[in-house]
Amino acid sequence: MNLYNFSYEVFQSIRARIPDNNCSFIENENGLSMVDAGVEMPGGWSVAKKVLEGLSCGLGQVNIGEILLQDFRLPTVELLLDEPVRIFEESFRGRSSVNNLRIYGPGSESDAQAYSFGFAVTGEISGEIPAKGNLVAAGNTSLAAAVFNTSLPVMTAVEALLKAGVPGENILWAWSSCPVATLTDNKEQMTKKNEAVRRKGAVISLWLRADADVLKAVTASWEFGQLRLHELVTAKTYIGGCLDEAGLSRELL
Amino acid sequence: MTFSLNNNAARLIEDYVRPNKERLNIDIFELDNGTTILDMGVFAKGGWLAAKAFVDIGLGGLGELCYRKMKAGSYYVPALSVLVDRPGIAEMASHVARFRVPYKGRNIDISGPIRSIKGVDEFARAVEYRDVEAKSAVGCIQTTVIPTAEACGLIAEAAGVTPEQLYLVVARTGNIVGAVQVGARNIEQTLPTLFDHGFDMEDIIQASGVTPMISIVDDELVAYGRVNDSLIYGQETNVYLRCDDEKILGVLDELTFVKNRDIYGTPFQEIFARCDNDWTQVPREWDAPCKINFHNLSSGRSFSTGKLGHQTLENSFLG
Repeated sequence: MNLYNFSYEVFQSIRARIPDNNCSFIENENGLSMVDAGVEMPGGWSVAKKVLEGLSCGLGQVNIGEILLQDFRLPTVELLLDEPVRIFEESFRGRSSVNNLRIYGPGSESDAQAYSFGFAVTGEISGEIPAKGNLVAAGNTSLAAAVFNTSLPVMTAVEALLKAGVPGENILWAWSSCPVATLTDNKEQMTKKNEAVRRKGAVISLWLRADADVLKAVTASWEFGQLRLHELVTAKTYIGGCLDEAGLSRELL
Repeated sequence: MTFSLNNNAARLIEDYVRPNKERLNIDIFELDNGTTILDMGVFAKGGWLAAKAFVDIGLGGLGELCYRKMKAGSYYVPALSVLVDRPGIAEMASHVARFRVPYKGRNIDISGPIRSIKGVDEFARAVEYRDVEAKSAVGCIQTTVIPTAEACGLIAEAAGVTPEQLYLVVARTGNIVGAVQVGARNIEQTLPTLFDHGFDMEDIIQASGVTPMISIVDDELVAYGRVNDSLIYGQETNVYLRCDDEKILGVLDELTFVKNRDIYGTPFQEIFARCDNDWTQVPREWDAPCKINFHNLSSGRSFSTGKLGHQTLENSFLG
């Protein structure tokens, strides 16, 4: 099964569970099939997990874990990625924004302009989005958006390594854990909470082959939680940033 | 009993692994003698999905690996959580790597459902179960080489099957699949220890285990050392059994790795080097689980022995 087909099937599985998953479906005349997973509809955990499964194209696993902050046991998203670079390039590098709407996700095998599985954080569910294919949309105060947010630190790390000159084929596997921000209807507060979990609560491990100097440089400037780069040849681990559970507690609780 | 560990494993291979081999980053091919090789990490890249499949195959359909999270020292790491039904059968007759086939002056150590066909080793014979309905034989090998047709022929003969019936799942230790599948041997390490101390495997009703995954590295010896660190300093197994409390209390101090006071805290790579990197020279008491929690269904009481060696785990994690 190729990754486009896998992601397409994930979209179909979301659609098949409407209305049980608290989502709704719209189809417009441009050929866009859209699921409202958190704009006007609440969505829920099942669609939120499937957003990340669709974006990871079947090249990994999405689990829900937990973290204890003060007396609160809060959910985390744990990602285990078998092809972190491919996932980044297919789903997170991003194509040019459509009317300022950033859409993540793999394209279609047959049509480069369409999405086999697209995801966008947007405040409007409208038939006017000039995109084709399949799109899951969620507002920034939604659970789906908060869960999606947990994937950004590991993808940021992959991007940083690629920019530092590490060949993609040398970045082999990834694991990350990031808390799901506590939800609020206030958009501004939600934006801050989502940023807080990325900067203070994410833990990322990447296993790779690269020069020590490059790894030291990447970790030295790391700003999103704790980054651990495990160099496979020398068997050394390079660490940047930190987990700030106290600071995270203040931001989330 | 009417279930077949080997048929379960073969079904997992044919229904899930083979159709998804590209997604799993593995290679599947047949040798000239008809044996099917699943390369999950000798030359293949493998990954988290392949590693889970390796473990699930080794449990013969009686258990599964789930990825969780735990702390090793001060660091959050992936954790390898294993849940098994029929723990005596799943582990002693299948998962335990005890089936030894001599080949060119060394032993090939094989784990997996294949062991349950004839009860080929003393641990497999610790339970009554034999896979009398097996249509194929599935074995797992921790190895840096693809087994030759000749070696596979010897394995098949020893197991009582034809080479064409044989599936072998292989991966290096110095690979993610190797790191995961060895680290997932938490219950697998514990039950033989209990067997050695006189526990009847049929009295063990349920079991679960968790191991911190602290390291993946290329070098086979370093990988070997670190994955064993994760077991002797990090794995914790829950055993639910029926027996007299006194039987448990009588052996608590003898079971876990902390009993080896003269070497406790030493990384396994160093310990292994003292044994010329030869498992046959490693004293049995050095292959000991880190921590065991007993829950006695008969008395309702629980007992625990052993402790996690967080400093050694952290040192291995950091490298």
